[in-house]
Amino acid sequence: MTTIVAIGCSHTYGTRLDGIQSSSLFNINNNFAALLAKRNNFKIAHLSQPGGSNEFIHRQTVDWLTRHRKRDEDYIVLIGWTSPFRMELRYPEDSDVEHAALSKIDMKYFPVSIGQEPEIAQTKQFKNIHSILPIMFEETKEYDMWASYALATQRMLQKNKVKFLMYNTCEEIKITQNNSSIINLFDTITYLNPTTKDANFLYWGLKNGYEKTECWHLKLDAHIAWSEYLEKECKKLDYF
Amino acid sequence: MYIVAFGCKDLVGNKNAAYFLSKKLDCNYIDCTTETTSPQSIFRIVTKYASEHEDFLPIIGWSNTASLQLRTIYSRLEYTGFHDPNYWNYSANGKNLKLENRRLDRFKDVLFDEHLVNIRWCNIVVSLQEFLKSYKIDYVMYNVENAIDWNANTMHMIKFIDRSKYIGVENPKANIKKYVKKLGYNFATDEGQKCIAGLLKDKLDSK
Repeated sequence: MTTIVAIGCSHTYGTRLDGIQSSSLFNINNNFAALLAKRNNFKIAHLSQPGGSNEFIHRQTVDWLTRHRKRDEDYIVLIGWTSPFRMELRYPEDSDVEHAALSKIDMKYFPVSIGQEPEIAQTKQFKNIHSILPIMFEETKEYDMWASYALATQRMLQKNKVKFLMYNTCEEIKITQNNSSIINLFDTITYLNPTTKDANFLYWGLKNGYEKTECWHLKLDAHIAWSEYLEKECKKLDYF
Repeated sequence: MYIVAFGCKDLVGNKNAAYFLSKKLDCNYIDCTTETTSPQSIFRIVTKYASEHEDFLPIIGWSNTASLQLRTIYSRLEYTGFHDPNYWNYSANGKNLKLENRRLDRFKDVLFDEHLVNIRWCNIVVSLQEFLKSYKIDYVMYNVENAIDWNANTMHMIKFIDRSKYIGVENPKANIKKYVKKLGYNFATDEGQKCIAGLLKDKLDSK
């Protein structure tokens, strides 16, 4: 039986999908990846995290490939790239502090993003981290790294003969002086509209009349529509 | 064929091991090392180089992995050519920060958390390995002075690393500095670097 492996940020996770809760079993079980799996009687592995950065998405893909993938099983890996202005920190290994999320990933990881409420951090130092984000999140650097992560992920999955589909969930990748040659190597059959404005999940949804929540997430109706779109793209690639 | 060095300018670039390896193999030498030594920086530069060039053999030296690449936010320099001079290195033992960046020091322990640094490094090694192999680019990696920490988060990735192409991996006794010292050479001399070049050549020959 095929397994859908869903890797991404809150948009993949299904945050506020019910219009109310940021994290709930209902949301996880009805995000676009889960809906695609349900409709086709596939299994699903949720490896997304609210606030997850592109570095996290890249790392999760490597982790899945080296830790979880069984060579004789069939997978379709769905990778939803996110806003580049995010990073991962980690609570000290010897502390009791953990980041609360309904997820099977390392609970010590703490995702940081621009505009995030400092209060969600568990320690004073982590709450204050926002004071250095303008230095950490220089725009060109973030787009350069995103391009490198995406190309390396594409090549890694192709080399290991894994079926995959990549797309953006809330922003397009911008071309810089450094990353243009890398972007030219993107396979746009498996990475849908990497640099196209309004072709990502969020803006595609808004353009098609789906309502967003206060925190810029789409609801169940948009997840259903996006899962149908992804299913069509998977079928074009002869994945099933 | 070009031998291209990636990593720290002082320890891997200039006339160090990759340079002497190019002499041994009668190849041209390109020094793509920089002041930014973080695994992310090496990853970015290697992927960019591979997207613009063919027929090269990367020699990647990992050192000072507890560092981050950052990019200037004020007074950026215009540039042409491969290297973007606006990137700079922020490391756990770095000093002389510009005034606008000094606040970073208050978060050093968070930014360079040992586990975080290790997982990032290990992850990038695996990704770069698969990236280079996908283009059938032969390569050698080596640890200059430290080793990837083996723990629950890294062990699966470490098992995936091709040891025939990487000197050191998680073995703290197998870094290059210790290797040359054991053989009676000084790392900072031409003799020491020629000795490392010999080891790199052996690694390339052992398929």
